[in-house]
Amino acid sequence: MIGSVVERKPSSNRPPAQGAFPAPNPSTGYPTVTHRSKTTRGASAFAKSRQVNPSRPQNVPTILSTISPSMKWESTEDDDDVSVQPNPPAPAPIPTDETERLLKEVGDENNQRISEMTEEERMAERADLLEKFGGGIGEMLRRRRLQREGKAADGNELVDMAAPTPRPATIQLSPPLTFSEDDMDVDSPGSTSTAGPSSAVERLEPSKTPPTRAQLLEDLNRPRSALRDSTAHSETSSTFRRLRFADVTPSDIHVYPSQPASPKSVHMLMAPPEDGSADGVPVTQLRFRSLHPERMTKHDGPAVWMAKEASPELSVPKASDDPEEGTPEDIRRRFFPNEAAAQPGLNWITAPSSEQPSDAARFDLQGALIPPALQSTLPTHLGLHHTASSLAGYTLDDLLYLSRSTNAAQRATVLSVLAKILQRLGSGNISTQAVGADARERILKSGMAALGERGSVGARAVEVVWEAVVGWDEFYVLQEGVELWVEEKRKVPSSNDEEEPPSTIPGLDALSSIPLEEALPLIQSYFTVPPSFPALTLSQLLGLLHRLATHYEAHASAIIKTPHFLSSVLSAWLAYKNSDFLRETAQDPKLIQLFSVLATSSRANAEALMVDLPNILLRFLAQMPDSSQSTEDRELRESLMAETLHFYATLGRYGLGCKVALTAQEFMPALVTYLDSSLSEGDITPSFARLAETFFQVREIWTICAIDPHKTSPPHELIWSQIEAFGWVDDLLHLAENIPAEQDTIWAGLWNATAAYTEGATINGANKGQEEKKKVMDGLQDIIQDGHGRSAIDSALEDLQSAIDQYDGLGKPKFLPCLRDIARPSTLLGAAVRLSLSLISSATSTSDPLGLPGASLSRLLDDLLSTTVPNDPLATTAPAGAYVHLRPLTTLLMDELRLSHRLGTMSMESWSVRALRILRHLLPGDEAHAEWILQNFSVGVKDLADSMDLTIDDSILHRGVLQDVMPFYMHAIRPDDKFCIAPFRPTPNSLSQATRVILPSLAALHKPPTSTLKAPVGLPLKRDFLFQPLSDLLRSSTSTAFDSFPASWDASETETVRATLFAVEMCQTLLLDMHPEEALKREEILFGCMRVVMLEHGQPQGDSSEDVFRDTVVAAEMKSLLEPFTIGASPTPPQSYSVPSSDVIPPLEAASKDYLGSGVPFYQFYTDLLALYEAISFADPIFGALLLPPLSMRYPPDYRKLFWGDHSVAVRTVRTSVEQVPADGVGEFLWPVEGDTELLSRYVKALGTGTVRGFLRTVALHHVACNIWLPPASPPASNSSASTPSTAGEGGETRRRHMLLALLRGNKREAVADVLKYEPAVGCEGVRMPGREERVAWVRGWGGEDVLQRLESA
Amino acid sequence: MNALPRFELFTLGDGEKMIEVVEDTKIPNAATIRVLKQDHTLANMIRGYMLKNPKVLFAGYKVPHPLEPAFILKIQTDGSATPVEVLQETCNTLIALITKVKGKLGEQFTQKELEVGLEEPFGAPG
Repeated sequence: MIGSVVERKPSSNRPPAQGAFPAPNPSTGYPTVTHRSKTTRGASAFAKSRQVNPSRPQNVPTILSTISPSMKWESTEDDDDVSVQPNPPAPAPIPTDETERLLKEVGDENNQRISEMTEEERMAERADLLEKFGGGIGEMLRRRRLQREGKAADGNELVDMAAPTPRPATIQLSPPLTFSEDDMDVDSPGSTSTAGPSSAVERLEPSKTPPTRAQLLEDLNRPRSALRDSTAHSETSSTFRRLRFADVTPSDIHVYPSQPASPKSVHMLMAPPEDGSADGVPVTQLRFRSLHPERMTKHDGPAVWMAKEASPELSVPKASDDPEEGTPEDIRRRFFPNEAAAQPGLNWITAPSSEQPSDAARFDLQGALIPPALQSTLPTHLGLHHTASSLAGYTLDDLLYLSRSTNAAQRATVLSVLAKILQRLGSGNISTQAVGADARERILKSGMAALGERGSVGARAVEVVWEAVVGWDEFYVLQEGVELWVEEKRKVPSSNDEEEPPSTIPGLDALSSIPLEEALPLIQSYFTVPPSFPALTLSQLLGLLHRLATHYEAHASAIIKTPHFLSSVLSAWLAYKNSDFLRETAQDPKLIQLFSVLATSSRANAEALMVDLPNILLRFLAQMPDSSQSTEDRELRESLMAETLHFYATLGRYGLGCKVALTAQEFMPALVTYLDSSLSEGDITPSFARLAETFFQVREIWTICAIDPHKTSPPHELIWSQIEAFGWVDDLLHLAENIPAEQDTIWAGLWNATAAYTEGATINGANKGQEEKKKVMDGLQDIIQDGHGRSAIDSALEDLQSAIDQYDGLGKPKFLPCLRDIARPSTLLGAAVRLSLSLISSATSTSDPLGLPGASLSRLLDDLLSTTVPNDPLATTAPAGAYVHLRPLTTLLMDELRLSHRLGTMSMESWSVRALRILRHLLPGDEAHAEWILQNFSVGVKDLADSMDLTIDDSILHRGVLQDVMPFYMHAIRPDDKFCIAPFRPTPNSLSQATRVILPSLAALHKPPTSTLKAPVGLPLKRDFLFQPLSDLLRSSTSTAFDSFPASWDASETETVRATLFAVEMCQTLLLDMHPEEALKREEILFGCMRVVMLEHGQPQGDSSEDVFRDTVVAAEMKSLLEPFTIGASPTPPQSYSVPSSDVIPPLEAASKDYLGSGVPFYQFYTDLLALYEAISFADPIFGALLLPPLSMRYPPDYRKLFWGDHSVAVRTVRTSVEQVPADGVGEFLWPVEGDTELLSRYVKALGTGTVRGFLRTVALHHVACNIWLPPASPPASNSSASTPSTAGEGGETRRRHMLLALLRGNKREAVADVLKYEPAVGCEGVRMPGREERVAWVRGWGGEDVLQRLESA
Repeated sequence: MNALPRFELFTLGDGEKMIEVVEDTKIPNAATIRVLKQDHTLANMIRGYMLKNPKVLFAGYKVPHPLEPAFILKIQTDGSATPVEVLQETCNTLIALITKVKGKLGEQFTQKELEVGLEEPFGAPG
């Protein structure tokens, strides 16, 4: 029982009615000591405050305990006392029978003496006392006597016998009891409950005289009594601690399912036996018995207790005049009777006025969110109240603050809570809104701050950082080969102190801004020999580095550049033995994975790694897995070997480190044997599959390295004859026999490796490798015809088909898995097609050597191109890095395209359509493919045009059709020679060119070209990339394109434009019929033509005939490009027009974004265009037509004001007819009706002077007529633009009249007549034009006959 | 910084012609007229009055470079007159107009001198 004095609820064992006190023990005269659980009056302040607080819920939900999570506690409120109250030591020496008897004898003796004294003697004694102790002594003695008697009458409370002894320690021991028990008396005068204000005053009186010893004692005790709670333990010598036990029987004690006060003391309380047999056994002799679960539920579980607690009939009647115990007034009277109630120094005794649950989310120790409703009701024993707040749980701020604690244990605990919060945040169990968007970053920072600490704090810190970095989006961990950083809006405190609110600027995300240079030495300190951290922590650290290196290229470089970091980690890692860790493996393959990722990040990093690492890792190739080993050992060896091979392959993609192929060849036969035996046994574990895959991968890459030994660095490290001598292809053909059909990755690897060999043999072998091809064909014939290989291909086709069918689009939860499902079969099919392509022996062959199901594959890919699969992962809203899954797909598309090109299975036209469609989907790394497509297109375009009956102008033919623009397109594809991403499938050329293997982040692709973070890649191509030459010409001063042009390029501006427009025309002709959604849209064509007319550089100013747009060929091409998009071209003009929602970006502004950049609005471009038109156009009809689309009501009114207002020249000279306007329909110019007064007056003026013609007149007439005839309230008629919101409503009626009168004043009868009779060509939904009678009635209504007559005459 | 000396804004250099007319070969009745040592003041005025002329289909001008004192005028007519004729006509109109304005201004000044001491018709000078 020691250490866990627990306040009991009396009603839990007995019915509350039982309240009789035991009679005083006659032998001693003192009442029998009774445990307070037997009294009804033992209700504590906690209990009372609960009883008067009915708002407390009766059912407190379960909270999992940190310490014993398997046990479920309901609320066990009695444990509050354990944690709040320090366990009080036994207050006083046990009153033995001896002392009691002695005291009683002394008392009797005194009474005897007093009764024998005479009156004089008594008076003399009294005077003596008064002289000694002052005037108050009589009262004091009387009170003391009364107290003693009263106590004897109450009888059954603990009695402190030693009260006025000169030892202060004994007095100090009692306060815990007085604190909790109302009617317990302790003989320290200052702390008696009866000491009201009056007695306090009385006691102050003697202070005029020199203080007596008793007063000194009193003064000594009084102020301390309030402090004793905290100081009693430390001040008390253990010799005074004596326990007193009440005469408690086991049935009196109920063991609540309490939380232990500290983790070390488990279940100090004992359960009463269920039967009555143990009655009478003193509680000290009981032994612990564990709780039975059914006991908890049976009767007196805490929930029941809570319910009883709240029931009103249990409320104990309390003394009417005493302030209720625990209230501030009670505390003040008891402990600070000398202080005024309103003294500010005593503010702390008032409870914080019922704290409202704040908005801040609060977490429990499991990192789970505590619902706001529970925050104020949860019991305090759960360890959730160690903050200033009275609410349960910790806010994120609390935790972050506590995570900097100097107490290591606290810090470790809080860090682990933070890690759990992150885990829940990452998995979506906690919404980000609850904790703020920057929660991850803040927690990450506190974790980083604790990195490098020793012991569990260090381990927990790694856990926190790991959760923030790796565990956060574990989904991407497996997604290798692409950077993952994204752009985030970050708050930046403004420099001007408080004047401006913090602005948000886009910046790198939290992970990219980790100061890794500072963290690396700390991480290094974890890798000690022998290890001082568990394997899990070290593994998490490696995972952390892996993720960071993948995330952002600068991190990878930082890891490489930090001196001695990798070498010391590696040497420690190599030195670990399995015995160092408990049941964990010493060598985590993650380190080799880290090396691979570092090597992918850039060529420089790979070069730094290739110095000695390949040879160090060779040891893992020597440790051949053995079937005699345990499964774990075998898997470990397999994955170590696999990662080593993968690392070699990664280096090989730069053409680096090929020499190790020769060294490793020593182990290769054994490895091949192992692979073969495992394959033939069909014993394929995931780690084995990975090993086989990487084996084929490294074979493929080393074979490619050997094809052209000049491309590797240093050259001639591996040459073709060595490949032949090693007999690698024989290994492949041999292994192929036993690969099961369902192992798609192994099949893909095998075919890629074989294809690499045949490709090399075509170059290096005699007679274009006919012998080698035949050998491979013979070896694979059976497998591919009807063996496992064939079924692998068939099932891959089916998988791809079903994956495409199941694809559900961007933003759906299954988006990434779907992409992965598409990528897997694509890899296999691509490899098969590649092999087939490489096996074609003669130039005239028209059949597929492997007999692949070409037709169904082609159809499937056509379907695929029509879906949104190739576009979605590249959208700005797509998850970062998702687009890496498209790489196998684009490679498959290209392989199929090349195969059909080679075999001639498609017509020229459909092949070109397919090629153009694929071209736009190619990804960074596919530059070679894009160039190949364009070159083939350029070569075949003349024949293509002939077959499509398209005439090519002689001037274009003369310049070699597309030859003039090819350099522009090549530059568009590969804008920076110094930045080259290794292709998905390396080629001899790519080995020396590649500067990195990892793809840039999606954010880097979407950055504007001016940003330093923009990846200098051209792919994926912009939609309107065919107009790229125009952009380069317009920006010839800044464009880098011309630097890369061949010296022979000498095209003039006009010639370039001709060729460009021809290329666009070809594309449009090919795509517009079959795939109109992939052809250029109206706005893209419009903006392209606008760029043409803007070309005026280097023109001899004198002769306008040399303006580019006036060139007959160019003009004809522009005309034919615009033709399909004019109003006249749309087959059935719609009779009605519905106003689109206003938040759509006007299409031209969207289309021009790429060219203009974010800094220049399209409006500015339009202003320049209009000025140019007015200066030099000579009213060119095409130029004029280009000006019109922004006048649509979908665009802001500024465009119309610009056109109609400041530049009246354009209004006069643009005479385009309605049919020639490049727009959807005339409706978008007419509806909603213009509401701007300034514009309307321009319209009226233009109509009145009769200067407008054609389309413009239609528009002006419409708006004027509608404003006059339509009643102003008509909702869609009032396009209340921002500047004039009220005109349509209030001034509308007056304006109508004024407009009509203004029109009448102008003496253009024709215009007036048109307005009077106006009926719109295209109606608007929900708007009805009033008929003639209504119009007449309206005019008569306000103008009378006079106006009407003037109208009639007009 | 790159500005020409002031006098070059209005003095012709050696061999420079004030006006240069280029007939457009491909566009009917169109001409491009290059006027040296003049700026927007004259160009805008001519363009504005040209556009009032019903014979003119198009009239526009531009100053190719802000630091070169020259502008290019582009005129297209409906065929009833050549661009040069229309330009001459416009210039005559403008000259007449300016003379008239000048005359009126002088008239007002004379009147003002006569009315010294009388109430200022346009408020106090100054």
